Amino acid sequence: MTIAMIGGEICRQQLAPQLLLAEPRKLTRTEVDGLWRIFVAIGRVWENTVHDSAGLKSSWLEFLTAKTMTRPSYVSEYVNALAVVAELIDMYGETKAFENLFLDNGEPRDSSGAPLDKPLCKNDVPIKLDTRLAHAKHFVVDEFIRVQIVAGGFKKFIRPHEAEIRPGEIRPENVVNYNGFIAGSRFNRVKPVRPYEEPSR
Amino acid sequence: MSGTDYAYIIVGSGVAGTAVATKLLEADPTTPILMLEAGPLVPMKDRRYWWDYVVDRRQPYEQCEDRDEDNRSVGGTAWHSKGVRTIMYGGSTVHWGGWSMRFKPEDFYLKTNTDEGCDWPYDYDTLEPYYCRAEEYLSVCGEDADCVERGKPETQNRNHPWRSKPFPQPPYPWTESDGEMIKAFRELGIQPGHMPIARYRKCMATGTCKYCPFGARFSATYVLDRLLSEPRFTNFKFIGSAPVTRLVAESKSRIHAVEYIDPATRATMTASADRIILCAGAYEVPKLLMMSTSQYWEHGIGNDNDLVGRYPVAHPFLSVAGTKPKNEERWIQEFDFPSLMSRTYDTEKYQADGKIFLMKTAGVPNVDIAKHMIAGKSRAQIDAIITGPRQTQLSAYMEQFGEYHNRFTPGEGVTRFGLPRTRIDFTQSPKAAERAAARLELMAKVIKAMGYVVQDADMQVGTQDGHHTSSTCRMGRDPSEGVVDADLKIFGTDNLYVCSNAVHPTCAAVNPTPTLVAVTLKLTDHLLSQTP
Repeated sequence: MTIAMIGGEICRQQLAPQLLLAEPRKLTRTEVDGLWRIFVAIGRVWENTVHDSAGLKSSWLEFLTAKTMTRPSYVSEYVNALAVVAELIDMYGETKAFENLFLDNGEPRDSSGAPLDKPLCKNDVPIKLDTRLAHAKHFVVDEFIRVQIVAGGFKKFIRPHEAEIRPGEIRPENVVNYNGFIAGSRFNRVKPVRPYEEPSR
Repeated sequence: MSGTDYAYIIVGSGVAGTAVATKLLEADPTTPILMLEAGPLVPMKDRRYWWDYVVDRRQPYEQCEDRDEDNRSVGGTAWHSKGVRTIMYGGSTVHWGGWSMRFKPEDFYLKTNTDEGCDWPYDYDTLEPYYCRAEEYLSVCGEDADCVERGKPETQNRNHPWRSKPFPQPPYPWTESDGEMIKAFRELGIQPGHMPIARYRKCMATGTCKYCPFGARFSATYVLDRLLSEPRFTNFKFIGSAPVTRLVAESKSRIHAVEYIDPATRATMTASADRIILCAGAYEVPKLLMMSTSQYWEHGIGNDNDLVGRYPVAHPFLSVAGTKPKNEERWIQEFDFPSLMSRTYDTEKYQADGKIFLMKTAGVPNVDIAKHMIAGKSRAQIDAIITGPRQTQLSAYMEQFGEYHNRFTPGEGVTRFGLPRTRIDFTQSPKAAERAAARLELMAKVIKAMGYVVQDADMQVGTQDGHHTSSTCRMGRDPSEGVVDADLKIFGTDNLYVCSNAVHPTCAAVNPTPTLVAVTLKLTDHLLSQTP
């Protein structure tokens, strides 16, 4: 087993494992745009969203506001992640940078180079959070992944062969549910799940 | 009030305490009431808390749940309390699942029917109108067509006992993944049913019921918020983080006051009331009674017959799983609660050997897609996992019978809430294991009928957990049988009541909360009828 490490000086800079301290504040437009780029890239790498996650933006923005405007504030983690991503893009180009960050991020790999199972849930086994790269992966990318799946991208995993669902359109035959999924006010007018259809008895 | 601080002191702010307060205040908004709660307040419907829960599955009130060190199991069977209760503003309704079924008529006649446990001092028909009110209070959804018609025998094989009013809310649908178990149920003569759950219409099925972003699943916290915010309830006072340590007897029959720890000064305070209602649950109430010794009650209040704390029962959890090689339909359990259930084996016919309430396990089949993405797995790898081997699981609660030798008593030291630790002396009857094994065989038939492979290790009797603990101050017809009478008043007292699962003489095979609310509403009718 070898440990690969991506990135350059910024990514490898040492950090304490705790959440980086920050006062709550509103993120700048540039910061929000930079973080949105990460969120969109998640959908592209896993091919699990439509229209580059546009339909999920309001949920993501609400998440971002909650994380930055209340304590403990994630502002410093977000600023760190922007620096890490900028370095990765400089080194590998955008597409490869995000693939490396999401799929090839310096975690344990076997001799063939394939990723090994690492701690699947951060609550089970602590990931070693000793670099700026690890902080970006853990506090930003991993949480964005959860938000994206919760906010709706999950459908593409379950019904990948059906026609794409237009943003805002929830047809009963397509609706699938995931912990945390909120579909909006029209939700009460359709079945919240793929319902069991009784055969004529 | 006659020389007392309050008309009522209510100890505990869970579903029972808040229901008592609500009904008393609705009858007379100026009623002076003091509610004391040992635990702290944790904000609900907070979006930051909710998002944190979504991304790391940590409940914001984790610090309020029972820990291993809070209770000590000393009997022949290890009794586990970790995570069983939430000691906080709103009590355990903060973390409950909302499953809301009534007890059945035979549950009120356990002793008569089986020579085990105890009968209730009244029957199902007496409690039925209160069940209707309780379901309205909790906003329970359910299927009216799945209830036995009044006066008809239970041979109708329906899941719910007769009812005089429809369910307040329509049921949640079965999911596509429930289908194969529904078919197996029918092949085996088991009646499939929709799980009745305490949810308001605004529920959007987010699957984050343990911390709902909208407050759509019933929780006593919302009731308490309303009571505290309404100006007309001017004499309602709530003190949190204030454990009650002792009850003060003025005479044998009159319990005059409570002693509690002031949250600001940590000094012991005394408050008096005309009536005191103990709504602190089946763990805390017996300990409080036993700790309240005096010249009038040498062994603790209500304990002259040495019954306080005895007969604890909970719900042994059974499960049978099975596996199929492929999940081509890409099914997952899309609700975070069981949408399919059955009470076919929860009838008088099965009572002597332990009734069971069946449910298709929530969360099975399931794939945590985000977890695999976080682990760096590619789209193709995750697709292979989703369509790979599929699990199913059938679970059950089994009725447990109360036994005299089992007992909850005060242990050494106090918890972080200032409550005494609980010493739990519990040894399960050998017969219980035999009963459970037989029930697992019934459940395995379902999984096999679905075409799944069942290994021996897939058939499990869970550890003895304290979920739904009941009966530690049970109702009885006289002091030789129980601690409280049919009106929940402690035998030998004029003004001290217990209102919690502790008073249920039996625990049936289903979650006790709707029954507790029905019993609570019956108590409030009694209290109001006694008020000049």
